[in-house]
Parts: sequence; structure tokens; C-alpha cells
Amino acid sequence: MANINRFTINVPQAEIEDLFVRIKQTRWTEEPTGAGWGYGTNSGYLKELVQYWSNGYDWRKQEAWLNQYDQFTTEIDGIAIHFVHVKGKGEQRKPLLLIHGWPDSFFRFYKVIPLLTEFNNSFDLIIPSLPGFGFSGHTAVNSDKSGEILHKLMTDVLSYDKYFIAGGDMGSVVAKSMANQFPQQVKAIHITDVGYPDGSEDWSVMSPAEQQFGQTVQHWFFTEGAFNMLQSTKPQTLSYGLNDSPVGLAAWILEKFYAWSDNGGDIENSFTKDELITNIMIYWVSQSINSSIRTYAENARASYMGGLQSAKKVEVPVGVSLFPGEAQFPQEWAERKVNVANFSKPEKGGHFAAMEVPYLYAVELKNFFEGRS
Amino acid sequence: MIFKKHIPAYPLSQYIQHILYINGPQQVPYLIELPDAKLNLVIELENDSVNTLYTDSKLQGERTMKRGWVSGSNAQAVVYKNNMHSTIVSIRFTIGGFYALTKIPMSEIIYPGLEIDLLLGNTANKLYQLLINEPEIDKIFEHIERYFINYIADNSFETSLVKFIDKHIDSPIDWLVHKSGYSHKHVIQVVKKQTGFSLKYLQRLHRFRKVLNAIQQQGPNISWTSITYDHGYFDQAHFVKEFIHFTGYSPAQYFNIHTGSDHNKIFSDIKLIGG
Repeated sequence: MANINRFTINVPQAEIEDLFVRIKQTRWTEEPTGAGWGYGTNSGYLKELVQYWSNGYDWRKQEAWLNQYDQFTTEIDGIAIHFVHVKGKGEQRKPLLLIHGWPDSFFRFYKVIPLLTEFNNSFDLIIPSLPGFGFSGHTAVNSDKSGEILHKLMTDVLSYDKYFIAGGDMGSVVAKSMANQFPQQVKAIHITDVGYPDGSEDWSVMSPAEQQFGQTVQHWFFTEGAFNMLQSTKPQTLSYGLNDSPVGLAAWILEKFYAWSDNGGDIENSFTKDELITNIMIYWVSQSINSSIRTYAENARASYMGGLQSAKKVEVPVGVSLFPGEAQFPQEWAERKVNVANFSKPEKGGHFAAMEVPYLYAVELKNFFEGRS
Repeated sequence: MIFKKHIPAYPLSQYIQHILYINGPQQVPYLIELPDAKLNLVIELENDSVNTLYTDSKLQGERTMKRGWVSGSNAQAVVYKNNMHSTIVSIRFTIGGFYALTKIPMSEIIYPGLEIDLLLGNTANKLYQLLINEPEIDKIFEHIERYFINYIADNSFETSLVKFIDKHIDSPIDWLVHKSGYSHKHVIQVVKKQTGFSLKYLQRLHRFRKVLNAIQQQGPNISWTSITYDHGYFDQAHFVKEFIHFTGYSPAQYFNIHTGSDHNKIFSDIKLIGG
């Protein structure tokens, strides 16, 4: 029987005070005139957010909000794993593992918890912090190893024989890996991105829409993807600064929340300041930015060393919801990557759909998993 | 008490039936909201005020709400604890109007008290900030109209399947399906997605609303027998069962509530009730 401990977030006051001293002592840098978000995180918005962080944001209130659901830790393969566990209503609930990505956290799914647990015969939700993230141990592992650990969480620790998975970003990658590693137990998965070209494709057999998508992704890597290369190669160099400066950390994370959400040019169409800062705080108070970005390097190394399970076509049934704020891949690309049992395109939402459009995201999950056993 | 009703101009009027502004306390412990298949978004303009509802008349299933929440799309009545410190704006959509406007599908995930920002995203929080800082009631209506008019993408709702069904809801289901030109399965799916209800349940709700109107118009010597047969119920037992299903009260109990205050004699959607 695995040892499970109750967990409550309770950051020592001294650490909170230290944070505000650091924020106050920020040495701001200049920005080109009219830069907007074109050179990276916009200085005006960052200052507005930091001002609120210092004078309006209430960490203790947010901490209490995070603690409203039961949280636990357990140790799997020598790594502490933090998870939220919420049981839904009804006799015939489905166990559903929700996996976050980077630079979000287990907090990504907080707004969908009531939506997925309140109706009759709903879900039992298990929402972990991935190894290396948040309140899990600071051991960075590749997505196959993360999948192995989360499978043990679901089966050995929580005793679910069979279960479902949903995820986005790195959560999609881990979900695909788990589906390929444990197809007998993983009954179906739902993902919001199916994977991107990795250089191994034969483009001569691709449809025109796929070729167009390939060009879009290539362009994206040149204009937006530098973070990925950096985190995949030399994360340690970056981490000294991010772990030391709350404003530096906020800027690094914020750029992605701006660029990847369906916000129409105003980040606060998608997130409140409280939500943005709480997600940043989870990285800050747990000091997990270094190990979280090192997972990119671990994935890159595993790819060179023989490949990841997530790169293989997934054969269990897969629900794909392509939100408008995501890179728009054609359905045939999804079918090349996974066994598409359902492909839908909701009207609104982006990369962080569970946070941006919680109801729409919850409906996508409910509709896909309904009737599956 | 300040009560103001605003009916939006075309084209928004296709989707939103009306917007109400209600300020001032009612001297009763509870209010019951009766189901009518129309989605209602309720916004509490008192920033620090907490509202409480119960999902049945026996005060079970308590939920608390702060800023804005979903109400009125319920399959059955919900009961509110009266909030003495409250200024409410209530946006009532036409049947299927919310989906037609926002393309957000109805689903059994929607529960009474669901916060508006979970449904509409953070733009709802921005609208809320505008509303609580707006002193003029007419401007409050304007902000709400401006917010929702941005959603209008096409003008096809007027000729849509759901509008057709709403217009002919008294007709037999087979006739509705036949006249729509779609398959039975398609009609069922579309109606469920856009209204949150099955076609049959919509018809039951419609008949129940007609009963409420009849009660509203009758004097103290109400004839339950004629109400039962006028509205096509098989017998009194079926009528009573159906009435309890929708309201949580027997017809006689409901009639006592209805005649218990001047407010209740005027308003049919929200009834004030004692402890």
C-alpha cells in the first residue's frame, strides 16, 4: 500500500516577504519605442501586473482557494508527486487524469473541477503536478518516465484499473505516451494538440493542408520558438535568473500566456491578473522553474537516444479539440498522429482552454468521454 | 424598490428577451424561481454581497454565488435565500438565444449557480467591473447590450430550427420533425445542444407555463379540474405529479404562495415564499 500524505499549501511568511523585497528592488530595463509584445513581454503590461502583485494581489486568499480541494503527496520511483483528488457525483464516475503543461501548472484545471464533478455520474478527477513541476519533486524526467510515474499513481497508489486522460501542451505529450505504454488501462485520451513536425516526416506524402501547416510551424519556430530550443539545450543557464528574480520569471511565463491564448490582443480577455500571478507564484514558491524547463532537455535527450513513446501513433481512441487560438493543424495531420475518434473545433479558446473557456473545455471532455467505458 | 425593464432593439432582441434591474429588499426569507427553458444570467452589483440558492424546495443542494451566475435554464424550480443587500441585473435570453448568440452549447454541465466567467471566460469579469462602476441604470443596459452585440456573427437565428420549434411548440413532435425537413435524430440533437432540453421536455415546460398563466388569471375560486383538463393532462394525479416535479410544491401549496403577496399576484417567474 502506497504511502499517501495530505498536503496543504502553506508558504512561510518570510518567503512572501522576501518575494516583495525582490519585487521592490527590481532593476527594470528599457524597451524599444512602440515594441508592443513584438520583442517579448510588453514592459507596460508587465509593470501594471507587478504593481498589482505588490499592492492588490492577496496570496493568502489564493492559497486558500488552491487548498479548497483535497491535495496529497506520495512518493513514486523516488520522486515526490503532488496531486489534487476530487470525487464527482453519482455511482458510475469515470476516473480522469488531467495533465497540465508548461508554463502552466496543476492550477490550469481548477476552473473545470466543479464543471466536471457536479453533474450526475461525472468524473473522479486526479490532477497531478508533473515530476519537476510545482509541489512535486524537483526531478526533471522525460515524458515517458512522467507517464510511467503517473500510471503508477493511477493504478498502484489510487487503485484505478482503467482510466481516462485529458491534457494539453506537455500534458498531451504525456497522455499520448501513457496511451502507448499502457493501452490496456488507458481507455481513451482527450488532447488539444497532437504534436508538431519533428524533421522525420516524409513531406512528399502530405496533403496540401498538412504542407501549409508544416510551413506555419516552421515559421513559428523561427519567430516564437527560441524558448523551446533554449530550454531543450541549456536550461541551467536560464534558470539562475528566473529563480532569482520574480519579475524575470513573470516575464518569461507571461509572454507565453499572451502569445498562446485566444485573447484578441488583450491578455485580460483570457485571464485575470490573479490567475496569471497565481500560476507564476506556483513556480516561484516551489522554486520549480529550473526542473520544469529541464524536462524539455530530458525530452530532447530521449529523442536523440531512441525516441519517445509519444512520437508513435496512438491507437487508443483519441478525442481532439482544436481551439482557435492553437496552431491550426488539419484533421489529416491529427489522423496521422493518433486514432481520432472525435475531432471538433470549438468557437473560442486557446492553448490554455481549460483556463480561458472552462465551460467549453468541460463540454468537450464530457461529450468525448460520455458512453466510453 | 427600483424595478426597470429594458427590451433590446433588433437584432439583439432576437436573442435577449429583456434585461431587468432590481434594487431593494423584499421582506421574505425565500424566493422561488420557476423553470421556463430560457437561460437567465444574473449579476449581483453589490460587490461584496453573497447570494445563496438551493436546487430544490426542501432547501437541499446549497450553492453560494458572488458576482454573476446562471439561472433560469433549470429543468426544475430553484429557491433563493432572500438577500437583503442586493442589486440585481438579470438578462433573460429567448429560447435558444444564448446558443445562437455565443455558440456556447447548452449541456447538463450547466447547473443553477454556475458562475458566468466559467461560461463566458474572463470577458465576463471585465463586463462585471464596468457594471459595478456604472451609476446610471440606462448605461448599465447599454454596457450589457454592447457586450453581447459583439457576439452577433450572422443573422440566421430568425430562420433557425429552434425558432421554428419555439413558434410551433404546441404541435405534435412528429409534425415538428416532418415540417423541419431534418431527421428525427438531427432535430433532437440540435434542440438539446441549443436549449439544453429535449423536445419533449420543452413541450412539458411549455404546458406547465400555460398552467401558471392560468393560475395567475384565476380568482380565489380556482377550479383545478378545469385547469387539469383544459391543459390536456390525463387526470388530476398526473397533473399534480407534473406540478410537483417542476415546482417542488403541490398546486394547492403553490396557490397559497401565489395569493400570499401582492408581488406574487403580479409576477409569475419569481415568487416570494415564507420559511
